[in-house]
Amino acid sequence: MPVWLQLILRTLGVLLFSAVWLRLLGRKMAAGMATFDRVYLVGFGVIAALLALNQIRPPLLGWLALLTWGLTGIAYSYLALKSKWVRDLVHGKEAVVIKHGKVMEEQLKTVRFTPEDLLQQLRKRQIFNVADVEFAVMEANGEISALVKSNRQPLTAQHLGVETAPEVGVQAVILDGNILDEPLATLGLNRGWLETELKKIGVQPENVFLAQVDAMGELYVDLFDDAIQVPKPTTRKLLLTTLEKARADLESYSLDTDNPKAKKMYQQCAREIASILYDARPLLK
Amino acid sequence: MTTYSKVKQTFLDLKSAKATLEQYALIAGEENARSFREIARKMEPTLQRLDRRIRSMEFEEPQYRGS
Repeated sequence: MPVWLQLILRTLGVLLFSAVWLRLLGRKMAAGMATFDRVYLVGFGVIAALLALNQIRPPLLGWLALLTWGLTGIAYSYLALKSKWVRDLVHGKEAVVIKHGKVMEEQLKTVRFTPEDLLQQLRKRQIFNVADVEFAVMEANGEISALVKSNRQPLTAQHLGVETAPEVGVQAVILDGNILDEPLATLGLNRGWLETELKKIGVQPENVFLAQVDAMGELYVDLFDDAIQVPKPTTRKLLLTTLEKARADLESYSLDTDNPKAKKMYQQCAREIASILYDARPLLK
Repeated sequence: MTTYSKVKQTFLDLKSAKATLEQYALIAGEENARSFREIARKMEPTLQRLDRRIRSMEFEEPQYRGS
C-alpha cells in the first residue's frame, strides 16, 4: 500500500477513535474546568497527531499510549464522581478570596495570587472596584467568580414590584426546514396546529427555516427567503387593546344613554372590564 | 352608527376576546392556564348584561333587529 494512502487511512482512524473517545470522556473534560483537564486534552491531541503522522515506532506502541491515556481519563472521571477525596486531589477546591467585602489575604497566598492578579481577574468580569464585590470565589481553574453587592446588581422586575407572567421555556419546532414533533408534543401541540398557524400568517411550511413557539402559543418564524416580511406576533397585544377599547366604549355608552338603569349597568360593565384588564395585563405583556 | 350597533359590536368584541383567552388557557402551561380561565370566567357577567341590554333595545325598537 502506498505511503500516502497509509497516512490518510491512519489519520482517519485516529480521528475516528478520538471523536468516539472524547464523547466517552464526558462533558466535564470538554468544559476544561480544571488545569488537569486542559493538560489531559492537549496530551491526548499530541499523541493522536504523532500517531497519525507515524512518528511513533512501532505504531502499535502509539495506539497503546493513546488507549492508556484515554482509559485513564475515563477512570479519573468515574473516580472523581465516586470519591470526593480524589476529586479534591486532582481538581482542587475552590477558595473564597473575598468574603463580606473583605479580601482574604491568606487565601490569596494559598492560591499564589498577587493583589494585581486579583484585580486583573475582577476586571475580566467588568468589576473595577473591589469595593463593589460582596463575595468572590477562586475556581479550580484560576478563574474568579464574583458576586457584586446588591445595590450594584442590575434591576429586575422583582425590585420594581412589577408583576410578570412566569417564563416557561420556548421550543424550537422547525429547524432547517424540518418540523420537529417532539418539541411540539412537549408544548402539548401537534403538526396540525403548526400548519394552521402558518396558514394564518400566510406562510408555507416549506419556506420556514426556523420556527419557535413559546408556552403561550406565540409563534416566531424565520423564512428561507429573507426578503419576505413576516407579520410580528401581535395577538396578545391585540387582545389587550380590544379590552381597553371595550372599557372606553362602555363608559361612553353610560354617558350617552338617558335610561338610568342602563347607565348604571354600563358603568358596572366598565368597572368589571377594568378589573379584568388589571388581571390580564401582566399575562399579555 | 347607532348606539345599538355600537353596543352590539362591543359585545361581539368581548365575546371574541373571551374565546381567545380560553384558547390561551388551552395552550398555556399550568400556572398561566388557571389565570386565563379565571379571567375568561370573570367576563361572563359583563357579556350577559350586555346581551340582555341588546335584547331589550331590540324589543324597544324592532327595526334595529338584525343590523
